[in-house]
Amino acid sequence: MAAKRKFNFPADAHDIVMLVRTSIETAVFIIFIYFLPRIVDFPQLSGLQLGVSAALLSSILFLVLTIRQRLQNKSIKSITYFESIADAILIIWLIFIFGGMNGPFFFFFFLAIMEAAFTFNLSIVLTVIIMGILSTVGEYNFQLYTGSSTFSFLSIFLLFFRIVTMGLIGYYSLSFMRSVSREQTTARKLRLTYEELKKLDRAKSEFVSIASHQLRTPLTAIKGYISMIMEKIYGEPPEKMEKPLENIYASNERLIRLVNDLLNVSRIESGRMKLEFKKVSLEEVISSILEELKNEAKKKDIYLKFEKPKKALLEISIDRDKIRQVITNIIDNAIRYTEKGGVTIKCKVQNEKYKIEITDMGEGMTKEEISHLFESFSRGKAGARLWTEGIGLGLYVAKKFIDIHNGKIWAESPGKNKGSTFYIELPIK
Amino acid sequence: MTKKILIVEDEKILADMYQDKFTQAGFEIVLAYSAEEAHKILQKEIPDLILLDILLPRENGISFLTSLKKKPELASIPVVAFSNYDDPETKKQAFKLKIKEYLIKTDYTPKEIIEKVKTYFKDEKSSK
Repeated sequence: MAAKRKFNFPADAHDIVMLVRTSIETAVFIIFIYFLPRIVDFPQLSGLQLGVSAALLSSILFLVLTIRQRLQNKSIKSITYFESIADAILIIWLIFIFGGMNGPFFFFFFLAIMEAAFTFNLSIVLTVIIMGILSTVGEYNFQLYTGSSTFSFLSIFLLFFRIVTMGLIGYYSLSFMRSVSREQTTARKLRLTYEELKKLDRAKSEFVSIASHQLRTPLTAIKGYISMIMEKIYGEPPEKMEKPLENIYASNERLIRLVNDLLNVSRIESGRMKLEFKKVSLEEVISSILEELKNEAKKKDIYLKFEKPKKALLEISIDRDKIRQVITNIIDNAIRYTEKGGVTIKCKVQNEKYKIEITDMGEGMTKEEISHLFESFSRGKAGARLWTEGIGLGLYVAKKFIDIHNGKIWAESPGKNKGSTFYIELPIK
Repeated sequence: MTKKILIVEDEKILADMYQDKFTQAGFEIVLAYSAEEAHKILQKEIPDLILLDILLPRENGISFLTSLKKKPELASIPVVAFSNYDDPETKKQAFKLKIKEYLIKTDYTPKEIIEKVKTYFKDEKSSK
């Protein structure tokens, strides 16, 4: 389908040039045809035969140029160059169709109507039709064949009519063909650009994988050596050094988590996150997480309670690794923001969905804070408290992970210092 | 009996670190800083386990693993891959080559790596 182009007559420099060129070419050619037999002697060929042969030749050339331009990946500039040559030849060819009604004439006439119709310019459509009819009728009233010369005032007037009509028809049919070929060129360019972008995106994703690998190497060294110093492998560190070492270790762990989150986010956003679905028991996952975090809770003297359902729940098809990360993240936060009391985890089946509730007795959140909870730190700001300990990307990634499982995650809190509850809902598959 | 572990790790800082911890934990450690070095070492001695980094200069861990599995006398050595390169495609390839586990280095302290590795020696009851 041709692109809808708003045609103002005359529109831009290009259009004016086109029209002027058409007129000049037309005029020159008419004069040439008139004078040609006086210069060269063609006893055997009549003007019509000459015209038809020239028309055939030029249409072949035009076809070749068009095909060539379409087969190759020419930039817009060179296509315009070819189009200009094709333009000129086509106009000349049209002028040659003085032999009356024939296929090509109607074909281009039809194209011209189409183009005028697409530009929704009814007056131009009517003009083209009327002039086409008149010029064809007028055709029979005079002959401009080389050799004969019957010029009456009517003939000249009708000749002028004919020239203008052919000019218009030529121009419009060319515009139509040009918009079609431009459409194809645009589509081709679009496809090429898309391939380029895909390549770039793939390179970027690989870059992130490699970048995170590079970031992780020094983080591994710090984690390893600090842990080994604390394990007294390098001798007994002075007691005063215990806290600073723990702080370094904790900060480093934060960096490691951040790099993990960045890698995850990059993968999710570029659609390269691969999930491995397996039938898993959520109770078993939660139990293993609590086993891992029980020391942390003990250190703060708060309890970790798991209220398991009386009957073992069905297994659920999920990416165990990702869901485990989400639940660990939430329970870990709950422990961090609770100073007394404890954290309770409940799990049940409700409305054909798995529902996990993690309730803490910690600092609680305002409605404002809850609304920004699952955004990445680049968007919006929550209370200072939420960002200082660096939840950072954790909940943003958690939400993404739950989203790709077609689940829901949200939080509620009765208010500041009244604790909070996080809810995770996963459809049973 | 002291277990011998071949650690293939191109980052010297990390190689030294793991050597310190593993030696302190009672293992005999042989270090290789590249796949080529590892090949040479394996021509002279057979370790009880190989800890293989995946992202290595020149020949990478996957290619090393492939040639390892082709040699019958070396194919049965348990291999634990460890790397900070967390690429699902690479992981899949490694598991196809029968590694015991693919650990992300930043997830574990050296002590924790030892705990993991202990379960994969040939005569121990392994979980995978």
